[in-house]
Amino acid sequence: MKARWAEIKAVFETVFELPTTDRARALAGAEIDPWVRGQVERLLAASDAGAGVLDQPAIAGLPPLGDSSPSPKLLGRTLGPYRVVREIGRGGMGTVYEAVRTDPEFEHRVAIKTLRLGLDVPELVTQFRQERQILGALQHPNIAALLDGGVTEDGVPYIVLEYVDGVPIDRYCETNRIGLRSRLDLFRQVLDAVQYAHRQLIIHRDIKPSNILVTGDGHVKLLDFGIARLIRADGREMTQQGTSAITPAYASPEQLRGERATTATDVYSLALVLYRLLTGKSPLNEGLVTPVELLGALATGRLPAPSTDPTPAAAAAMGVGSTERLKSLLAGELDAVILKGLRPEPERRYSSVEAFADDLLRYLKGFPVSARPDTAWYRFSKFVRRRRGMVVGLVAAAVALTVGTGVAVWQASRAAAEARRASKIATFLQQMIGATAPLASLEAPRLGPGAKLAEWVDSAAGRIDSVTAGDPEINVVLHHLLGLAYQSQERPAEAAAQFDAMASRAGPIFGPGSADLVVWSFRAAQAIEAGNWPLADSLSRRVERSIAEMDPTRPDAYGRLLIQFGMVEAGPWRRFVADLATSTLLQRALIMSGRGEVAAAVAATRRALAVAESAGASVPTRAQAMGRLGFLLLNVGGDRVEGTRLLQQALRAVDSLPNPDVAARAEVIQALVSTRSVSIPEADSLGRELVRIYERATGPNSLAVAYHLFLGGGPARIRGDTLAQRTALTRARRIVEAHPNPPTALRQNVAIEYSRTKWLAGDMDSAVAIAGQVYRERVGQGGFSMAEAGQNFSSVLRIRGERNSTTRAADYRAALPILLEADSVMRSLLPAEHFWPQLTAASLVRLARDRNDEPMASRFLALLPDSARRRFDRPKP
Amino acid sequence: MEGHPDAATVTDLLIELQQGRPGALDRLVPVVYAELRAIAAQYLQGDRGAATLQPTALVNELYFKLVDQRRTDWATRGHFFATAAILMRRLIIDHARAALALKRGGGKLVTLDEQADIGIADTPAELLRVDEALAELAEFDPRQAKVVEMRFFGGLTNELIAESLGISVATVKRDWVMARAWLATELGNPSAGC
Repeated sequence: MKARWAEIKAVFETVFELPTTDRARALAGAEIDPWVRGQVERLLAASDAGAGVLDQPAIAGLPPLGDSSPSPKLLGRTLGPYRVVREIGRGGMGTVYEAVRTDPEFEHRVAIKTLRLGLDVPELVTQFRQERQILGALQHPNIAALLDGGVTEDGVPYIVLEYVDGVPIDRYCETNRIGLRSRLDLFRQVLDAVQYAHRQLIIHRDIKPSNILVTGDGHVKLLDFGIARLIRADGREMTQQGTSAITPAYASPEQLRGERATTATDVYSLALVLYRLLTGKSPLNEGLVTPVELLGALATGRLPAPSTDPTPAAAAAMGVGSTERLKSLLAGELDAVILKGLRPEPERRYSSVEAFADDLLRYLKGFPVSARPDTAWYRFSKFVRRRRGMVVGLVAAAVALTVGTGVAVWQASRAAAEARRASKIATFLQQMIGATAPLASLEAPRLGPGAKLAEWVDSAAGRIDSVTAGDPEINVVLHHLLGLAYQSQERPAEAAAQFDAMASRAGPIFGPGSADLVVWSFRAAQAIEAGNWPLADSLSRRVERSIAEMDPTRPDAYGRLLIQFGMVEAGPWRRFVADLATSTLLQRALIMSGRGEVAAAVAATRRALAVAESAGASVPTRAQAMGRLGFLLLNVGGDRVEGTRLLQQALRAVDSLPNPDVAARAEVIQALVSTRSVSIPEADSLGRELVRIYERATGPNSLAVAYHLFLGGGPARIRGDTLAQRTALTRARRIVEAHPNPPTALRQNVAIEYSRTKWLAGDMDSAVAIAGQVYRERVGQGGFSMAEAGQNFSSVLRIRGERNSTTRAADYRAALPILLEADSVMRSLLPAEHFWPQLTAASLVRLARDRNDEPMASRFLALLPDSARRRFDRPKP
Repeated sequence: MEGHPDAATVTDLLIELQQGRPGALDRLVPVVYAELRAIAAQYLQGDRGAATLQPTALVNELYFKLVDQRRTDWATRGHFFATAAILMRRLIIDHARAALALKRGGGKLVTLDEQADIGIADTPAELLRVDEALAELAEFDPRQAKVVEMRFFGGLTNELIAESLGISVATVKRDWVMARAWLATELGNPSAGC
């Protein structure tokens, strides 16, 4: 064999090059020694067949290795109060056991983990204890708690951990077919836990799916927090014990390079976990790449974006329909967020887990993520999309009047017009803002450094007419768009000018009065903001009538135009019309409640919900109707149970969307806060988030910021954080007072809430002055608004009287008629068991007692339910 | 993770090895082997999840732990992986021998008996036969034997083997096909059809 190997090899390699079918013939025809031929035939046969053990790496054929270092046999033994009952598993760091703690009162399961390191060095024992104490301080619902720890008699250190009955997060998502949004929600629990630990200055160092368990009820538990650090208390000793604390597949480049781990290291591993959760795979071809490739890929940061190649299995498990659909869901923002976490340079990743979590939340709520090139246009386009409800309403209103007018003519010239229109838009955008992308894609054009959105809008407004000369259709669309832009910047005068221009030019093209609806809707919204109810009412009635005349079966001329430009989401026209009808009814209800017609408002909102359901409105619109009705029932009269149920239903509906409308969600959450159905921390953090986002989107002194500061005051007050409440409301008030033209309702509501902070701060004179001012403004309006302000004013007066003997008599005297009137108004508007009549009655009991008028006190006491009455059982001394 | 205490030494030794300094290999082997054993133990115990049976991952980890990549080039890497493959082979054979001894001595490796019961090949014994046959192959075709060692025992990819041995990937593939066929006939694998 050895002697003729070269000969055999030459023949084998030549023949092997040939297609399988030709080999036998070639070999038979070759002029070679028969023995060599025989050898080659044998080899060819062997190469075609399986070669058994050779066909997988040698190491795979080995049976599991026994624990090479002396492993303590703990089964059946008792460690302190724990009895070891079962071995759960073995790892590089040691063995994990299940144990039970038997106490007289209760028995519970724990996990005991032995650490395979020889603690024969006294300093190491000390260090182990110190580390254990630090980890023991980690108390978080998403972190498996370190309960205890010690050293066995034979010197083996162990730790006692909370027993977690769960499965790794990736497997959990797979087997339970968890959807995209719910995966993100699960992952946010992980972020929350890591964020918490980082605040305690503890780095996990080994975040991977097998360390993140999810329990049967969907609760996330992180394991082995900081154990990596514990294990490596002394680098040299530990490594010689064979304990590697990292998992290459989830290790960061700096870990692979052997550098120190920081919080950025955890950010990296977290991003890898998220990558896997959303794509079903790792960006690195685990275990099958050479180190050169691995490090190369990591160092250049050229990891494939998650949307590049998600697995069909992941798409199926998420129920998104197809891999293509999953790709499109991941493309863009989720790609950007994950890749930012995976940047090779630690300093270019998210600066903290909190920033990571913030961005994900932003994504979930439809706000721009920070991980994306942050141009003004991008922010603006997100903003417009977010306010789609509003945009849709205005746009659809414009569409309404075109039915049957000029449609045929328009259609005839459509083909030619389309081409012109597209190039015109592109040219316009190019000239305005240097963009090449069509408007419909809403892609980010590059603005010059320091350019502000406001300047861009102004400059565009100044040039619309010259740029679109000869193309009146585009001219109309652009005026419309700029009107929305100004509206989003809270510049109503400029917005009005754009809508006026649009209306005057649209008539000749799309038929008489075709864009009037846009203007009516816009003006109705303005009238609502200004509290001009009669005007708002007449405008919205007009809009309502026009919508009723719309053809729900097909889009008309202006509708098609807007769909084409991406200003309206393409979708079934019927749904679009249903959305519009619902929104208009909700607007009508808003006007009614503004006028104090509470019962009518509730009825109109019910009608809106019914229309939404029967006509097939979109989920956000249905949720909005549900939320509004729930809110009304809870706050101005009606069935509290039904109200709460509706709000929770609305929240579920909003949350079921891949990109829920943040305004809708905020509205529902704030309403839920008033019923205590949502946790205060959640409402609180949401409120703060909204303030931050609006600060950036609309400026720190915008009305939107004031509004959300005002709303955020509620949770702060319920929580008893009067300082936070005062800070928020003081700022809200400053913004509103400095604004040239603030909406009346907002200004007054802020003032009412602000007077309460003054009262809580003990500044009764200011409280009385502010509350009195609002009351006097609302006297003319009558109805609920007046009664609400009256209740507040009289309470403030009464409390000042209680505290100040010089004003007491006058305060009590002034408070009584106001409160009596407020009570009778509330009683006429609302059922007796409702919050407001009860509040006014309770206020009257207090005032009567303060005035030593016990007969009157008993009269109103009788109106209160038992639970409330008990608080008044003993007359005040 | 802080740098491995031996990283500087290993890197120095690799550079010396590459420069042909005598004794470098002798000093390199114990350090690398100790670490390899430690890592392999974890893989064999299944602590690395899905990566359990991926020796490439194992050697990669070894490389990242022991070699300062800032001071090394492709030639150093080649030496490292060639060395690692030798050591992997030694480690696996040692382990297979231990497993076999345990089995024969009625030891506690229950898994082996169970495998025998259900007719699964006695892999540790087969591994030992591969090792012996490979030693024979090395006598008349050292390069093919090296390729088998790196691929089968070291778990390295064709690309990395090509890089380490300074040959083309196509040559690696050809060598592997023939050596595998020859080994199969030598092992008398029933499926080899002899």
